[in-house]
Amino acid sequence: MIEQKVGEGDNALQLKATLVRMNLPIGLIDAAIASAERSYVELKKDLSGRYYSGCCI
Amino acid sequence: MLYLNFSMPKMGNIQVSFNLTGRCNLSCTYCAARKEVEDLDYEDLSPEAIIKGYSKVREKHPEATLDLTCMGRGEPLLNWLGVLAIGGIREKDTNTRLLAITNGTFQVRNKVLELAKKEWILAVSYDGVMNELERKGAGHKVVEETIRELMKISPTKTIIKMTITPQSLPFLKESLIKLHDLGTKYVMLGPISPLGKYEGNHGLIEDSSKMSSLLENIVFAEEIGLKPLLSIQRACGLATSGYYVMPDGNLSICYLKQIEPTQENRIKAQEQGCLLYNLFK
Repeated sequence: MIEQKVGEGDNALQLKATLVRMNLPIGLIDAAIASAERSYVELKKDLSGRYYSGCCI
Repeated sequence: MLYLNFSMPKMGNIQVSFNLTGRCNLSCTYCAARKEVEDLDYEDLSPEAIIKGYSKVREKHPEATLDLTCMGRGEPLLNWLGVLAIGGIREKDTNTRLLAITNGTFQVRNKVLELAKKEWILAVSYDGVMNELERKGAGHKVVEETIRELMKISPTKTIIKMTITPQSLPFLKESLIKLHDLGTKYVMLGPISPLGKYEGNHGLIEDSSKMSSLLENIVFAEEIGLKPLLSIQRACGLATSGYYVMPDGNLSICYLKQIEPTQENRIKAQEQGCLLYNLFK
């Protein structure tokens, strides 16, 4: 088995790598991930902690 | 008992998931759990098993904040006795958060609203203005009414979870506008990675043109005032790290590891209440 260590930042990095391999526009990838990361920062404040049911970024 | 692994995250809260039931009032085309439930003849989790499982985790982690999460291989709130048992834990242990996932349909609407008033963190599954297309039995207007009511009570603790498939993607922009009109704040879209498809039931996005469209819609969601989140599907079908309370009250542990979906691992995972899918082909 291969261990896949995933932290919050790693999620975004891993996702970006996957999407880049699909030849999607870098600008679009970055914009979408940045949008999700902004939302997640706010969500953590609203929930007083992390939310990871479903593994989100 | 065999465990897939023993590691636990060193940061943040610890999630304790309760698979409350295998019963469901829907029949979703992409539901990965249904066949497994039928194979396993899954019964409702009893209040006794819930308390036993929680107590074991608390004993291991006396200082940690525990996220007590109502999940299911069906609609969790159909096991209302189980939900009440989990709610009762918090009355004695305030170092906890309460979370539930639900389909938000008419059968459970009043229960969902009751939990919202008690400040539970809720995730409502909704696939948009064509919700019934793949969420068989869940008319979009019914779920939208639930969402509208929830947003009046608890907009910051309610997350709308949208499973994006090739079939629902063409309606995504219209659906996001609808969610905005309903007062939604957070919408989780995905699964977006690893872009595979559930083995044997087709249908998650795996080509670049559709993925590009999904990314554009994520940006659009923020532009109209929503807070979009991305979900990332992992090899474990339950997709969430932490402890799982088994029907006998014992614990299974799932950490974010990539596990090869061999037949041997699949059987081992099933024994522990986890599901494995081949998302990495």
